[in-house]
Amino acid sequence: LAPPRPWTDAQLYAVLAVTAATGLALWWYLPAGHARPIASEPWQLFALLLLYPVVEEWLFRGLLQGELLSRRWGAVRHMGLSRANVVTSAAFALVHLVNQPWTWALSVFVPSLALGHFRERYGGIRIPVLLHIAFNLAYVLSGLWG
Amino acid sequence: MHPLLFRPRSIAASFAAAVFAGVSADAATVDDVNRDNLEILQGEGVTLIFEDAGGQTSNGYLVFDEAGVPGVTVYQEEFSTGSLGARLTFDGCIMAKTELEDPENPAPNCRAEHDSGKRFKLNATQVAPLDLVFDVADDDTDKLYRVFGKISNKTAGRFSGFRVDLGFGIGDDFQPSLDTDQLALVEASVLGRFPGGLFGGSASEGDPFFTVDAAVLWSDEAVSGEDLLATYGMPTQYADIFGDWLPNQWVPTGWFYDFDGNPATDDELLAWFDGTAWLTYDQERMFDLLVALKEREVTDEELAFWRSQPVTVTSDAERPLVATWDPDAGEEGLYIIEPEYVAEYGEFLTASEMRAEVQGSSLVRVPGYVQGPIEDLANANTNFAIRVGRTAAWPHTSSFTLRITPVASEDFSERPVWIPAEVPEVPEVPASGSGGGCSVGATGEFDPLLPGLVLIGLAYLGLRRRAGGWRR
Repeated sequence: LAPPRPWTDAQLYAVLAVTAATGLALWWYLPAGHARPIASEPWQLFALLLLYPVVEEWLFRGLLQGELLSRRWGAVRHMGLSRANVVTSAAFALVHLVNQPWTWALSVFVPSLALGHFRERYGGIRIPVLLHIAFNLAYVLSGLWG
Repeated sequence: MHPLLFRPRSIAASFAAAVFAGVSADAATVDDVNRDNLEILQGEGVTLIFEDAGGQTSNGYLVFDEAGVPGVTVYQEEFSTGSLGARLTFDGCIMAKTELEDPENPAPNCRAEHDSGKRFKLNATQVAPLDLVFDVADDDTDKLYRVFGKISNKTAGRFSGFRVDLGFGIGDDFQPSLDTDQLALVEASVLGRFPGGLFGGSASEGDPFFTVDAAVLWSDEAVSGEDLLATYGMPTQYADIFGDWLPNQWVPTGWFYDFDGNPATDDELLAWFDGTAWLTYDQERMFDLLVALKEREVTDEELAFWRSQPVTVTSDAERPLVATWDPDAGEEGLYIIEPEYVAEYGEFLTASEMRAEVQGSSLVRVPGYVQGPIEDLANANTNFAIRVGRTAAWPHTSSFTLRITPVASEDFSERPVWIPAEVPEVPEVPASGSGGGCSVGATGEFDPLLPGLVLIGLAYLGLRRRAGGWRR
């Protein structure tokens, strides 16, 4: 099956809508201005909005999920999710434990499943990279005002 | 606008609830601070505050003197403040541990004078919540506690305000208090204020230095509620001179008069350096009342005199010089001992070591002038009260959490002009403890995880190619 065109993909719009809603929730829940320290440092902003999304998507969705998908076991699906996606997302959340509180690390599991889904839906990491950037952008924007 | 502005509360209702709260069958007394998320570093006089019981993440610390462990305590002393019409009666207070005793004063600690060290000193090292947990015990009546605190900005950048929340649990497990749970914040005065000795508004702290008017952390942007008090705007009295709330590492240097010759006590500020000139303020009085402060540059003669009169310690006999205080020596300044006394005292003494030497001896402290950072510019006093009623509806019936969260300024990284550009930044970057976006690490410091991941990926590709599995 040919991948859908992104600009006509309802699933993609749905994820972006959820991302915006999550950003609003973070704006409400987290301390006002929590992301200003990040936004004021060009290096941190570059890392958060470009470097980490590209590197993480290349490693997790590109290499790890790609490798697992190439195996028969990994391609098996449960409730629309491949085992490769679930395992990759678990690894993704585990790696976040290194630098993040455990609750935050766990909370990246679901967005990671979405990224993995679109990696399979589009057969590449370009859309997941853009989505990852959108996720992080929502986080940053949620902490600029208050 | 802050999202919490959507939750307006009646200030009057809070006052009324606090003052006229009726007898309840199952109310509570605040016993003491809970130490489960605290780590006391006895030798350093510091209590780390963690946002997890495991002691992994700390966003700040309390400081204490020898007897004041852990830096904050609860006194059950009834006292009143204010005047008719706005009078509040408190059942106790939350403050630094002072253990003052005065048979004629029913509240010697809660009503202690200014400069008595009554405010607990909360040092924020990150722009993230600081959770102080308090244990409660059953009681028959609601209790109202005045909170005497001070926030010091020890982060790498500027604040624009702070917020105070009540709730339960710490860190990510913090649950905000509800309107119905009989745990409430009550406004007891302005929420925050920069030191009265610098910006006025405090008769007991003497004449102010920079402005006659008080620098109050309460603005049009502030919000108030039963479980939230917050301010997001800087007072012009402070901001017009220094910009937003300075971190300790960026406060300007000043010349002080140490009137008791003791470096451990507060000194009188005489002048400050704005990056180009030393400035001071001449007082204009009307019938002994201070009405204005007029800025002028310090003269060379004044500076020369101050430099020639350091803080010293002398021997009582004919007052020969024993030691001279050097605020730049060591980590926190040292007394430099005169050569003829080195055999007796050694080459250097710290301020506390000199205090021990002076006590019970003939040594005499001599007042003098000293140059150093104006640390009070990084500090703001906090004022509010907490009403504690029935605990039955609380998630944790035996404790509640007082959460104080600094608010980062939009000018967080704006260096003041008096900080030379070539001075290297302190490599401490405030990262929110509650995450950093969807990335494995983005603190700005070198993070070995990212190159590690890249190496793992490249190694994987190399192995796959070597195994002949290259499929592209």
